[in-house]
Amino acid sequence: MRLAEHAGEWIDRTKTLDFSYEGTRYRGFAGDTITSALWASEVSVLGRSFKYHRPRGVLSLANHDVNVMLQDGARINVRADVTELIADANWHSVNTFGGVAGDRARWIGKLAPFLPVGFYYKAFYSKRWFPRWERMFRNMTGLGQVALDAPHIRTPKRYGFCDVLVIGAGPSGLSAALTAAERGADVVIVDENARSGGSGTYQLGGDNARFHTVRALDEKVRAHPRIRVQTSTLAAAYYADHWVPLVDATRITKMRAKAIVVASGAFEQPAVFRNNDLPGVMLASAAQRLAYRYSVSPGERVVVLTANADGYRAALDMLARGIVVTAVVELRASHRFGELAHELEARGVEVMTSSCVVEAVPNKAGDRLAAVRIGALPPVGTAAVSTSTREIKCDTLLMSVGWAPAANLLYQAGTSMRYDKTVEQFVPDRLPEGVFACGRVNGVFSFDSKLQDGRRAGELAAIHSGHAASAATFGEYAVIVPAEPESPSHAWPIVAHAAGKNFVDFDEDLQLKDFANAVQEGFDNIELLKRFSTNGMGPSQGKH
Amino acid sequence: MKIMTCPVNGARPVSEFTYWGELSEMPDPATATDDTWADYVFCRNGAAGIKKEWWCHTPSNTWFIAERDTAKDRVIRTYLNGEEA
Repeated sequence: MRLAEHAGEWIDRTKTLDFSYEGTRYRGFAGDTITSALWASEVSVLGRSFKYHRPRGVLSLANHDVNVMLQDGARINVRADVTELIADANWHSVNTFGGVAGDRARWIGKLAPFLPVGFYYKAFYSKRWFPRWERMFRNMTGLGQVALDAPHIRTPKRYGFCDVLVIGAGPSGLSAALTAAERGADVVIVDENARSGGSGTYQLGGDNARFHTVRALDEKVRAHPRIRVQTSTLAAAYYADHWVPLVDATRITKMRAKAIVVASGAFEQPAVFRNNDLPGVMLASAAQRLAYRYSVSPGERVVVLTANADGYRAALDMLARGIVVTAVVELRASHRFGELAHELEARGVEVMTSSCVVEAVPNKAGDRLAAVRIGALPPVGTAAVSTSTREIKCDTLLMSVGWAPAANLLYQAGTSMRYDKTVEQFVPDRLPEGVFACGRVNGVFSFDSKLQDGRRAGELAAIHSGHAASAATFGEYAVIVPAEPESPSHAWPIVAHAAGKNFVDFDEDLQLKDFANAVQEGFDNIELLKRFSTNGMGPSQGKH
Repeated sequence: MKIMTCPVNGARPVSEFTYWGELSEMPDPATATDDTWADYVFCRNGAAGIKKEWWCHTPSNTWFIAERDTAKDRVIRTYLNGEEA
């Protein structure tokens, strides 16, 4: 369902595009992604999971998961979350046997108890039978089908140069770019999204002032003669001496910078509870993207599971966009954002503390969330039981329990990271020369702090690239960015359940019990555990 | 890709350069013992650390000496032979 217009929406309502998905015609607007257009058309099953062929819907809407992976002939393994609509495309979900709705392989889910972690290492090793097993596995586990007549696409390269390269055009990145340019540096700012602004354009807490602040900052950046803005451009890697390949749809730009500011943000992480992969259970940021970027309603009745202030803000965002929010389920006993909770309560939203979602309940057809069972948070190490829980009817559950830094480029550049208990995430400890970090990847989450952290990093990058000559001019920003009032991530948003199906890795269909079993088998080192279970080794490479 | 500074042409990508071996003092062939001479001809010190090496900027055929820290993968300085400051 489409919502009322919003100033920041990416869609052009005057231009409709027709496309088909699984043989049915649908209509979306120009600027929609495939997923947003399908979700607006009330399609809830958009893919089948890799191993058990369970129905899947929107999770991150940001290519941080691959629930929705499609194919149209030579266009193979397309990430529908971030791929714009193409007129008359004919999409099918990959990895199904006979269509996404009646996938014949869904019986595999029933066999789950007989397919423990690492089962194929143990069952399919005999030399004599291996060729047969291999054929079977290649049939069962492939993603898209290779089209042998795929056209050869030429992908040219070019070289680019700049003083400061800013990666990520969210609030902190924009503020870093503007500060560096004001100090005289020649700045390039890139973002993988189709438009700049990042979280500042959709994580508003129902407060449009934040949106307008970021919009104004964005306009200043675009108007600045020394800043080049490149959206839909991915900073694909970091090589020696600040050399970063920037990949867009048509070419690769080998960008040589004198200094780099990494403002790549954070990936929102799902909570773990029974049936947390049902269509309708999504990350809070995904719902905010749907509601603000594409003006699509995530659902009709929303419950929010949260362990940070972002969850309350997401609930306020839903209310601001006219969506019914019935309850906020808070994992913690207390927190420092009481005013957000009071505001929600005043607007008729029930806030439950020290509670958790024990189980998500599917509807009769099994293709959408119908209710959630709420119970007291069990102590770590014990499983929750579905008795003595309260059932709340809803078709959408938003999860907002924590963030993981998008620190890939920082790691490649040789940054040493340390775990910061106050924000429950890794933050840069010692950065290489000429590399700077700001925003969420640097452990800074409060909106004003992000802008300030961006100014600090931009200033340092300008100095490093030979502008803003002396440290004296730095004085203005040499302040310490204030510490976060509370951790934006919960240390353990995981609820064990005797009946399982509580997924940790959505790409590889890994349940909580798979990890316990792997440890029991002796793979108790984190590196071994990862490889034995294949956690984070699917197409989204550990982003969720 | 790394950047190396040619003493004549300035900073260039390292693909334009070739490495020509460690710089070592030639012992006097007339007086050197066989051991010293064999060591000079055949033996190279591969231990990581600060090295003095011959490099050549191939497009301009500029031969020069580079001091590199091979442990930290860093070029410390480059200069033409005999122009060491």
